[in-house]
Amino acid sequence: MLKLLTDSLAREFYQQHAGFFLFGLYILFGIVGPGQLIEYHKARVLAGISSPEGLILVFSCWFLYAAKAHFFLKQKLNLPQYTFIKETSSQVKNIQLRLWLKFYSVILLPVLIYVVLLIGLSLKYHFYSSAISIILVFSALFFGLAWLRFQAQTFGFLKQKSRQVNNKFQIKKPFFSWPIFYLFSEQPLMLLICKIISFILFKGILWMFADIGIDIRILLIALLASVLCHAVLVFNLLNFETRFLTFSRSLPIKFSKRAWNWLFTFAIILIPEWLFLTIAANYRLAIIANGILFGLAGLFFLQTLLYLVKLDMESYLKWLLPFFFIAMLAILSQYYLLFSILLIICSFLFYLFKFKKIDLRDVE
Amino acid sequence: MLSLTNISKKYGSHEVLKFQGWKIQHGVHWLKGANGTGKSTLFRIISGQTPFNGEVELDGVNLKKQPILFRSKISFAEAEPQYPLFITGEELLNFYREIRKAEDHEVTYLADYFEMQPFLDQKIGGYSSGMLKKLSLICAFLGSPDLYILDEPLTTIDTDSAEKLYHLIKTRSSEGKSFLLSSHQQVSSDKLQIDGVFQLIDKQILPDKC
Repeated sequence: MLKLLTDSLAREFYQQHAGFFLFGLYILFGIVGPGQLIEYHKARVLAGISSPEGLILVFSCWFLYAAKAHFFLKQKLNLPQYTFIKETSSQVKNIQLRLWLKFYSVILLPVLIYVVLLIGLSLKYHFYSSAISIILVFSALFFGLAWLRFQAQTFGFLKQKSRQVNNKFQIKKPFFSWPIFYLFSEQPLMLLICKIISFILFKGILWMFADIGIDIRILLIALLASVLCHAVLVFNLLNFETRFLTFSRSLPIKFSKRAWNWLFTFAIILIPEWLFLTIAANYRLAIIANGILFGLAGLFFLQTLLYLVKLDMESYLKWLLPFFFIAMLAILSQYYLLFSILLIICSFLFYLFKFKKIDLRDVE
Repeated sequence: MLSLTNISKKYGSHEVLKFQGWKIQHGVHWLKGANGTGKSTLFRIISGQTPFNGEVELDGVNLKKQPILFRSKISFAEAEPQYPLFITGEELLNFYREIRKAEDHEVTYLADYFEMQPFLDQKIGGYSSGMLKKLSLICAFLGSPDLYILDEPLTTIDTDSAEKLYHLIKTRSSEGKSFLLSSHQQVSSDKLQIDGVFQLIDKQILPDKC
């Protein structure tokens, strides 16, 4: 059963969050040279264990990760294709708990590696209280997750599903807004994490180049980082379209209208980034206009790319790095406007000529 | 009326459909075939949902050359309809009503007819499979398309609703509309006048001899 769980759920978890892990790997190994890597990590870990504030930050990240894993699992296990996992609830309590503990050790592996490192250094540098709190918090998290899953699997049926009745103040949802409502109603945590990382990266890049002042290239590089943070979000949106909006393909809706709908969706998703940009650009209209165009073009192109690789996450991720470098090059050589226009034109042409030739359900 | 020429469709290297031609005139047509023979794929091709090789024409309108006009002439109800779970039945019907340029009273009439009116303000996520099927049938019957493509319309709905569906098909076909149905269940000839029965065997569409 464990193999089945890891092959299906754990694999899907890592695949769906590949962008997030890629970003994590970049933060851990990519931003310093090979010679400074050990010192950099040591400094990071020591910063974490040497003060209560550092520990709280570390624990917060773990909680966020654990919450993400928990909600991911909760959502997946409600799908009809995972109904078979309910069979685990026929096992005795200890066997079930052991199964979920083993499963969560796979899911929490990236955290577990850092836990070992943190405990090792805490003991070496005599931060004994930190070591104890790390062990306690991680154990609580680890056993808590397994316990919650056991409870949900065994006693979940006792919870009466509240009937979904309309309330008087329901918001009207026009067709173009359905992907946005999907994010808010079914992927809120993912959206939140995406926005937090996007904000951190945006601010981080501005902070790194703070001495330069307001430069459109720096602002666009920060925006590029934010756009790339949305890579998995775009993947999920297209997944949603493939699963739940395919019916609309047999309706008389113009291809250009479909493209405009997506542009509108992306414009709404990027509202927080527009705000960061507007403030960082000190309300300079030319920079804001360029930023809006660049952000829209970036997300729209990511979606087109996903169509072209037929929703294959591995190929998608492989293309993200070249996209990042080409976009960087375009920004640094001040061809950002041309680059944005090109991306939008390519994506529109795709919708006009290629969209009807690709049915992503075929790939499923 | 509906003509399909040189149709082929592959999923990866697996070829599901390959036939030279198939023509049907106005009327009610029933397509039979065992599981996995490609009935749903064929319906998805005709409804413009999935890419394919070949040509599909309805009353001279080519699907590939005039996709929007073609789609406005057909209506498709899938065998296993899937809609966003967080929208209400009413929101979905309103969307269809706008796209299909149907009147408000059509929505009300069809929702009442299939006894779905009390559930329209609920989210689709709370619907049973039968309710979902009825909702997809209501969507399909909105507006005034020339050809209705109903994939397994009788599965999951209760006998009363099946009777109502037969009646609705009869009414619309008497108004000159055409139907293409697929069903594993025997379509009763005393309830519905079937003009043509076909069978999908080995990627080919053949007239049914039974």
